Amino acid sequence: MNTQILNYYEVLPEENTFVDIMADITHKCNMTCKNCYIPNRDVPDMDLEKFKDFMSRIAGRCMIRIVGAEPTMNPLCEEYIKAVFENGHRCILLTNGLRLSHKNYVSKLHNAGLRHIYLSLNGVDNDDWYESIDEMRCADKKIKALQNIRERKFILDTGTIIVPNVNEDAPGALLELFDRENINNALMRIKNVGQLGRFQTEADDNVKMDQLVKLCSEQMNISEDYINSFRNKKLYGIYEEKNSILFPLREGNKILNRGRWVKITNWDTDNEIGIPDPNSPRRGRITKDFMLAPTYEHIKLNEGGY
Amino acid sequence: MSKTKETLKKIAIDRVNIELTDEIINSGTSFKDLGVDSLDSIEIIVSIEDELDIELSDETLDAVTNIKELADYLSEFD
Repeated sequence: MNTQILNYYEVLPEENTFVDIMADITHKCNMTCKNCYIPNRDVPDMDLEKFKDFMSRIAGRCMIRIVGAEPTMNPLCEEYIKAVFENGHRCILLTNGLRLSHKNYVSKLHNAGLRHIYLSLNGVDNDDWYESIDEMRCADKKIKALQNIRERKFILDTGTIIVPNVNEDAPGALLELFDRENINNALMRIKNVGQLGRFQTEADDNVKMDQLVKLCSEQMNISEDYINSFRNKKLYGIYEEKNSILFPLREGNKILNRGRWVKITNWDTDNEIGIPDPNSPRRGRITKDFMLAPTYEHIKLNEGGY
Repeated sequence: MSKTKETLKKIAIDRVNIELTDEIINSGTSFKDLGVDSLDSIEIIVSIEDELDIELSDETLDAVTNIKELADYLSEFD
């Protein structure tokens, strides 16, 4: 562990300055994706009472990202969500969507107050892509989850990792899927492979940021100039994030997730520190001991563990 | 009190911790001055659509700049 290079630190929740906080409420998962930043399945679920206490103590209003491995594998997932709202924070659930293919489960999440879901769609609607990236032919379940999310009017973010020579046609396929399923309001997050935890593409072979821009331009029928005009702009008008470009597909659309938006993110770790977005003041992560640490630095330091 | 205004007030307190009074709404305070950022605004809009079971027009919403304009737009659904 080289804390000096990583510029690693931990703070109490009362000292929080992050706005986006990851809560890995479980390390269990019902998939075995080839790209997973926390592949260790032996860590116990996050203690709910300690989480509630933590939520009540965090300084500032934060976006709490309920995540895992697969957060819906925690049988008390809704209770964590309720605790977020009871303490006045924002909440998003990051999920592979397998459990959300059941309407009853989606209703439970809605009843807990959740309105914002991030659904991973690495293979879009293509089982061959899912098998190559996520080791499961699960397109049907993903599409059912998408339909259930739309039906309950959740705010929808989708996440698609572009793997070279596998799913480079995913941006276009995603748009076609959205057309078919009448998904008119969503943020499509397109990213490359991050070399953290378990991953299938080394940085040297990764699809680079400029290539991601080109793929989106070609397949989404927008110019590279248009996409690049959003480089170095504050995300959501709030955050500085050097490794992302956020833009609406319809020019002039002002309200995030109204209409279709795209966020291209470079998860490459081909820098000295070996993490995406080093020294980010935005992203924090709850540690095993209920402290707060910068997200990527913490994940890197605990690679293979927590 | 109109149904839509009541719903707006409830959503503001439940979802983004902002207590809206009639005075605040009528003053035409901007979203920014209310402390509503772009993430809050989408949360408010989605919740309104969900609670009232309506669809709001993107074009109209893009033109809405303050809480009074939003309340006025919603009153069309009363």
